[in-house]
Amino acid sequence: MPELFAYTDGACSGNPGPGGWGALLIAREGDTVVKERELSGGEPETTNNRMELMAAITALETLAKPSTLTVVTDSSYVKDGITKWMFGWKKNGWKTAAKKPVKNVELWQRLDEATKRHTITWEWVKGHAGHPENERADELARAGMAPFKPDPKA
Amino acid sequence: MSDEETLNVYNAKIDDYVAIAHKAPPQNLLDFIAAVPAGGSVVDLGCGPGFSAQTMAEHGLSVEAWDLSDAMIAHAATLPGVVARKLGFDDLPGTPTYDGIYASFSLLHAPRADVPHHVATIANSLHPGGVFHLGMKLGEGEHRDGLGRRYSYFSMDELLGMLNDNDLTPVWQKQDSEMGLAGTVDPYAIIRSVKNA
Repeated sequence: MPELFAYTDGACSGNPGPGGWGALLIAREGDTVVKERELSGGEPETTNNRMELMAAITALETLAKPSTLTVVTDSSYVKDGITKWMFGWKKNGWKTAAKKPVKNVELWQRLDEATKRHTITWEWVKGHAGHPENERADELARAGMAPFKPDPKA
Repeated sequence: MSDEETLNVYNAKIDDYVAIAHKAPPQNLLDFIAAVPAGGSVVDLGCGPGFSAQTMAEHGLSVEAWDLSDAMIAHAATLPGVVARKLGFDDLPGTPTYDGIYASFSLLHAPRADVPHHVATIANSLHPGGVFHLGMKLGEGEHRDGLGRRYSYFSMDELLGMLNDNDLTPVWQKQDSEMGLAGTVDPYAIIRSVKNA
C-alpha cells in the first residue's frame, strides 16, 4: 500500500486581496513516488487564512475514496483550528467561547465534513524552511493567485 | 462545427456517462448556482446526461440543457425540471439573454480555431453580471483521445486572455494536474467569470 501525503499552502497579496491556494498530493512506496497530483486555485478578494483552509479542504475533497493520509501544512490558523478550537466551536453550535460567530465558518464546516471521510495525521511544518514539498505547495498557491493579481504590464 | 465522430462516442457511451455522473454535485457547480441571481435563466451548454442541469433546476434556476448528442438529450429530457434541447455553440443568441452559461468540458470539443469566437458569443449572450463557468483541459493543439473524441487544448494564459478580450472578469479558478506511473499528465482548469456591467 502506498503512503499518501498532502502538502497544502495558501498565499494572499494584501489581506484581504487576491489570493491563491495550492495542494501537492503524493503517493509514495518507500522512497519512490508512484503518483503525484497538483491542485491550485484562487480568487480576486480573499484572505490568507481562507486560502490556507481552501488548500486543505480541496486536498481532502479531491480524494474520492476514504483514505489514510498525512496532511502537511505551515498554517498555524489551520493547526489551531483543528487541534484547539473546532471541538469547542462544534459543542457551541459553531460559536466561539465568547458566543460570537466563528470567522470563515462555512470553510471550517467544509473542512470538518471533508475530514470525516478520511483517517488523517496532521503534520505542522515551519513555512519557507527548505521543505521541498512545502515550497512546491507555496509555488502552486502563488500560481493560483497569479490570474487575479493586477497585470504589471497594464 | 460539430464533430460526427465525437458525437457518435457520446451516443454510444450514454450508459457509462449516466453510471459515473450520478453522484453528489461538485462544489464548483454549487458555487456557480450561488453566483447566479436567484431564479435566473441559465444554459447548461453541452449538458451530457443532464445531471448538472437537474441540480440547477433543484436550486430554483430556470435551466435549458443543450447538447448535440441525441442520446444525451433524450436522457436529460427525462430529468425533472430540465428543458432539454438539441442545440450547440452556434445556436447561442449573441445578445444578452441569460444570467448564466455553464460549459463544463464541452467547449473543448469545438475546433480550436472556433473557440475564441464561441467565447465571444457566450459573453454576448450573457446579461451584465451574468456568470460563465468554463471547464477546459490544459495543453496545446488539437487531438483525438483513445475513444475518438476531438479535443482542443489551451493554456491557462490563453483562456484568461479570451475571457479578458470579451468583458468577462475571472472571479474564481481551479487547476488540477495528475501524474501517474505512465508519466502522462492530464491537467484541466475550471474558471468562473462574470460579464462586466
